[in-house]
Amino acid sequence: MPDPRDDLYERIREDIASERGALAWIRARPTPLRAALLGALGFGGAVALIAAMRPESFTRPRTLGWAIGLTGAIAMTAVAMAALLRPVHADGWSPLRRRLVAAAIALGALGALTLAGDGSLGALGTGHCLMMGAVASLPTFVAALLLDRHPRRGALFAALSATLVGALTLQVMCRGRSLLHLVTEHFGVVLAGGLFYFSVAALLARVRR
Amino acid sequence: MHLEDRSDEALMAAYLAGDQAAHRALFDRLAPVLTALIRRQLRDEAEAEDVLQRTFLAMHRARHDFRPGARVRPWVFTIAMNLVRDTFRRRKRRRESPLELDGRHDPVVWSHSGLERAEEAALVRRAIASLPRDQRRAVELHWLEERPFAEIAELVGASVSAVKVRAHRGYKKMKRWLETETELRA
Repeated sequence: MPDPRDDLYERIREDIASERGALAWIRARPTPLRAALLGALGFGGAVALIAAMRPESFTRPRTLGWAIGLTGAIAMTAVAMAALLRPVHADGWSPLRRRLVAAAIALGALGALTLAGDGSLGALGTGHCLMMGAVASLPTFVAALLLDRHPRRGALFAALSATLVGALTLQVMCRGRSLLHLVTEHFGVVLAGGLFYFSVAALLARVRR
Repeated sequence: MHLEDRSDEALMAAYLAGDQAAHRALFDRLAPVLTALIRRQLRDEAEAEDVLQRTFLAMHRARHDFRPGARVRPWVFTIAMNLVRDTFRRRKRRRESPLELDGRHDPVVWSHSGLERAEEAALVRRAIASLPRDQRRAVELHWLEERPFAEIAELVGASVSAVKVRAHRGYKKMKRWLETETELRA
């Protein structure tokens, strides 16, 4: 009588056999390496693209608020990236990790408040920061899709990592200080970009399954 | 040396080196333990088989994260438990959670009906979640899984006395946490 476990093992072998090609290879790399790649591609890509485009409005003075904003941006994005790359064999969120996440969010919020608008209406072109946000976030999104092993939960964190990089790059770099500009364009990157990225990632996850 | 005589760790090392027979031997050895564990949690034959299959796929995807010298069972066990939790999240049916209360093992006295029962289960879930990792794992396996300490010790890769201490401390902390929470609610 055939052992039912043989059938199951056959299915597992088929699953494993389908894990081939460059993408499967890169996703199977150790997590620290994937984290380094995501960070380098995400942040590096954003910096390179913005440097190449040389937007005139991206010349915010390097103040203490700018430094706090930058630190908060990096901390929050690192948390989102860590959630994206969290290995399946990792234990649940410990109280210490929860505190680190809370600290990163608090620092990010403090940075955002420090850099928030002062009520003056800036004269930046419509859609300028939406475009820059999309440019800044795209490398992170692509890298997240390449490196994520768990398509089911990955869509959310890929979208979150990408929009955080986009929105917080704007928050740190853009010199537009009008509240209207911040709400419509910077927040627009979070809202529109997040929804768009999440939809794309969820669709791709379905295809991958 | 025959495959049967090799340790889990030796089989894992051979599998990482590309030995398919070692992978099969590892499957034959771990599948029964994992099946029992997952089935007891999910109480659904088809879902349990799906999670078992996904456990071995996840194990393959994460194989380069496995640290040489580490124990295989705790590693695979954590993968399976995380996938079980994912399954519960997908179900979104709290009443079928693995943390259903069972009067025999409750650390405090509970009433057992309807909404109250669901609230109590949620409260216990939070109490368990508040524990440090090692204690949480020991409590989950001992209380919810009803596993003997010797088996827990093997699964988590620690001595029997160590897991006993962890579980004991975990229960004490849970009791304090639940008492405080109950007082606050009252």
